[in-house]
Amino acid sequence: MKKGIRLNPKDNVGVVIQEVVPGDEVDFDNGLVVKALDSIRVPHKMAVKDIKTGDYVIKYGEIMGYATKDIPAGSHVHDHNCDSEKLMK
Amino acid sequence: MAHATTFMGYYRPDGRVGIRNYVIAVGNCSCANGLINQIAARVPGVVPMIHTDGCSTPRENERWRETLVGVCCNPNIYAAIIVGVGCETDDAKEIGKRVEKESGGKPVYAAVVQQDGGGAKVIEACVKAAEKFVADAAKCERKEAPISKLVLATECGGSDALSGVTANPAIGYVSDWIVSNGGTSILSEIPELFGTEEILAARSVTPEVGQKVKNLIYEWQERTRYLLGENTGRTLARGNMEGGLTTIQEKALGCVHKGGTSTVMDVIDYSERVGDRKGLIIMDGPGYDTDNVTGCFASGAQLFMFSTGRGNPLGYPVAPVIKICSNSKTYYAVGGDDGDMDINAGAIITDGLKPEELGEQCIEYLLDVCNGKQTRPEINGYGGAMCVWSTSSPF
Repeated sequence: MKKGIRLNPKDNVGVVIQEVVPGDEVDFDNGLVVKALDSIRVPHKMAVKDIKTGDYVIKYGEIMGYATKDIPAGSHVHDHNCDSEKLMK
Repeated sequence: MAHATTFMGYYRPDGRVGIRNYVIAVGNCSCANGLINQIAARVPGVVPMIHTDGCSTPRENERWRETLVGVCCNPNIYAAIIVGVGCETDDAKEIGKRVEKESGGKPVYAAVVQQDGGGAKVIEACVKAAEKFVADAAKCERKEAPISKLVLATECGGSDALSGVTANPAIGYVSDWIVSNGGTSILSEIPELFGTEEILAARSVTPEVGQKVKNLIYEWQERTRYLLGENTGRTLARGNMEGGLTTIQEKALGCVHKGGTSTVMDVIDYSERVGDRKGLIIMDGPGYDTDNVTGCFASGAQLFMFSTGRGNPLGYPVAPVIKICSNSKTYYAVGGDDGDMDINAGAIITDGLKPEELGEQCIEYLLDVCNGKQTRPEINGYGGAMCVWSTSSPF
């Protein structure tokens, strides 16, 4: 079992603190265990829930961006599937 | 844990208290930097402050003038040598008079190449003045001062996705402690607050201050939009993204932890003097650390707490910068205990250290630094130039 950190119960992403390869189970505490679909470096983000295109990506309990494509739980979340341009003035 | 409520510092004529006791030589513009280097090389104990701009940029003159005066008036500075060339926009001798007046009579010597016999004569005169200033500075003694005399500035540079998890909350813990003891803490780097405007406005002392915070963040967003268009959400450095940060909002939601949980008391311009303001203050300024630290120093900050996840080594020539690393891997990769970093916040993850234990350690470390302990950037000599913020290009 690998370790991750989910900072807020509202968050749909967590930070991995051990290198993750597909198939690894990652423990984000409080019983939340997610199976990795991608290789994820420390300290990059993993989706801990399914996130649909256009849904907000939540970290620290706040909006950090939105999904630019469907992101299944266990995926690496980064600039290939998450942006924030439309949130800006 | 009970911490000391005082530190030992250098009282200045205006009542402010320095935690360092420097004599500086500073150019009124970058054309004077060759002379500044020679003066500093001739007089051990003089710190050269290398001005990165200073002339031929009409929209910047007022900000640069306030910054230069503010840097010289900072209580970490015992005395200042100011060198002008003569043809630049501002008059170095007028700047010197302003420093004397605003600082309540700090020792200042100003000379101008085109008025005072050329470069060689100006260097000789400045060396003579500097030798006296250094000898006088050595007679200054530290005296007890309350924590309320401290102005802390918080910075982050080379952030990664753990900066907001480990290091920035520790800085916020220290910031809250300074505020609760009647001191002042500056939060800045406005592009690194994008997306936190509602959080900060809700924490502001009045709706008017909250609106000022929002307006400042929106103004920067519009400037960013103008420059970056559809890439405006990626106001990040390459290293930030390699470190796992995806959007500027994600970075900002981590950065805002540097301000702890205190009430936002006011918003000030870049390098505007903090004056009598206490509590958490937001200063206008860019996320680029070298420019931002100069603004905070000119505003009156005597010291910095600076988080990094990638291992940014930056210090400041005349202020202690406490480097706090977000992760153990980087901490050891840049030299470990005798390297570039002061504190390893990554111990929260790798060694099971509790966040509040780290916060308490940081307060004790900061008190030691106020009393004279050298930070890693001071020991390593990693203070850079006196970079000043510009929003326009020179003519």
